[in-house]
Amino acid sequence: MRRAGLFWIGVCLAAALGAAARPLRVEVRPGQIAQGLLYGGVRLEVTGPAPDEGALVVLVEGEWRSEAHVRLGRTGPFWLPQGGVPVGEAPTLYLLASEGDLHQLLTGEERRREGLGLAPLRESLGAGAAVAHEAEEVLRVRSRSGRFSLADHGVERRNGTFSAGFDLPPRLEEGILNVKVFLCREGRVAEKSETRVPVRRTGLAAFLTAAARQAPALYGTGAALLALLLGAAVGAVFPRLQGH
Amino acid sequence: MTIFLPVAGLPMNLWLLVAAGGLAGFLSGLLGVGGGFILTPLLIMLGISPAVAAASDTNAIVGTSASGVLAHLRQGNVDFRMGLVLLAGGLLGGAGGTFWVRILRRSGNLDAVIVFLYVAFLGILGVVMFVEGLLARIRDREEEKGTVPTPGFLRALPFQASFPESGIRVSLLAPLALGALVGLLAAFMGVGGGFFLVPAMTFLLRMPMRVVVGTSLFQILFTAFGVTVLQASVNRTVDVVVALCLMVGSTVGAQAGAAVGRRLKGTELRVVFALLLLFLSLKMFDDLLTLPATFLTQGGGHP
Repeated sequence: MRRAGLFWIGVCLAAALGAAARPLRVEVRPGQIAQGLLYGGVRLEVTGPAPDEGALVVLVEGEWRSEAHVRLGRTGPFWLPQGGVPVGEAPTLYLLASEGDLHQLLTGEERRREGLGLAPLRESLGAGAAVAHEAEEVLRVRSRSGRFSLADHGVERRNGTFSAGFDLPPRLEEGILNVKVFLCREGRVAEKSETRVPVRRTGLAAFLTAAARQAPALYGTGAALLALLLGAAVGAVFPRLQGH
Repeated sequence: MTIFLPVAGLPMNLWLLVAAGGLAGFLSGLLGVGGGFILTPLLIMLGISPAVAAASDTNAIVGTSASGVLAHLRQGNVDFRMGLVLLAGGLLGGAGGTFWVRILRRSGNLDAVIVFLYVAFLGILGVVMFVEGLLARIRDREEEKGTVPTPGFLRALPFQASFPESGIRVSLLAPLALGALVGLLAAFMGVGGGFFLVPAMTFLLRMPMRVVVGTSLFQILFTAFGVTVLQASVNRTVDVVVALCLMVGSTVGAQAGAAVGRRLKGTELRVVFALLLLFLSLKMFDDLLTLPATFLTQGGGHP
């Protein structure tokens, strides 16, 4: 009797521990982004079983690097470029969605540690900026081009699953996108998952990109010759076309 | 239907690109002016960077001018000697322009320079087209009188040479300089330069109209060819997919424009078009004066 009691206590403990340690299951679609000649943009869907406790934060992050920016200033009556602006590194893409107010889900220290929200980006960008407001301006420029966004209620729960959708900007660079999902409990990150989504050119688009980068003179000659031949063919078919 | 532009690095509606080429071709067929100066701003408005727009437009000009050169070759309307001198200048100007584009692109000033150039040239072209009726009458009177000597300052320049096909004697420096300017325009603005070259050859070099269009197209074709190769090699900004879409559109558009043009009065159309160009020029000028939405632009540092 006593043995049977101990057995069931053990089973319950194991089940509880198993539930607590259940890894965060995340599915990212599409698993890779192929930019062929008919590529027309993509919506990234992040889904999975919703955890019983805690709230989720989903981040789609591009590679970290420093990008060149130019300051616009007044020269006489005109608004013209007035030199480069040194800013620190930041992800080429930063799209964040959370189940609620990010500031209430995670403490400031935790957000900084995981690189979540505005503050860590401001810090990184501001590290190279001569003037603090220029880091803000960089974020505004990226926000306008769809490369930076924060959505406090962008993660939805329905029928025991969670989902977050991200419309990726049309000008999407080749490389790796990191899709990070954070499970937040009591102001801290209890668990996290990371999925890599490669962005690659394929088919004819890949061939033309590689030719333009690796053999630019040959590519340029080929492009000019192709236009010349097509134009001559059109001239032969439509003799009336003057083309000026 | 969407198509991905590999060098521009973004997807775009295929029919929108073809329509842009079609509009330029239509204007070319209707008014007899090149559509390059309309195409580059259109491509920029569609979201393509100014550098890629100008370079890809130049690539398309190779195709559109090739068909014209073929037609003029058949009729013997090309002064090859003059064409080669203009071409030498065009290649020099194109090479200089391409490297200048690289420097300006690195410093982040290229977009502003392109906008300034468009403000100036759309304005000039608008005014020129507006008074073109008057200039055409003067040209006709001079052709009736027979051979008209070149302006005095051109006769005073060194390296005088004869061009028997055109029946003129002029300093080699004049067509070289004209060609160089056309090469610069091709590199910076992605235009063929016919709108500038044809009046210059007619009124400055006093070439007969019979050979002016064919010779200018010959020079534009090979200058655009050279600038395309240079832009691809130095700046890596030629998108062949953009160029091919524009060519398809402009081929159809030019046929439609020519058909419509035969039924309408050219003079009135040119006045309306001149007003449109002046409006575009003023709009772009106003943009330079208006407070920008952000005080930073992305750019500079690219290869």
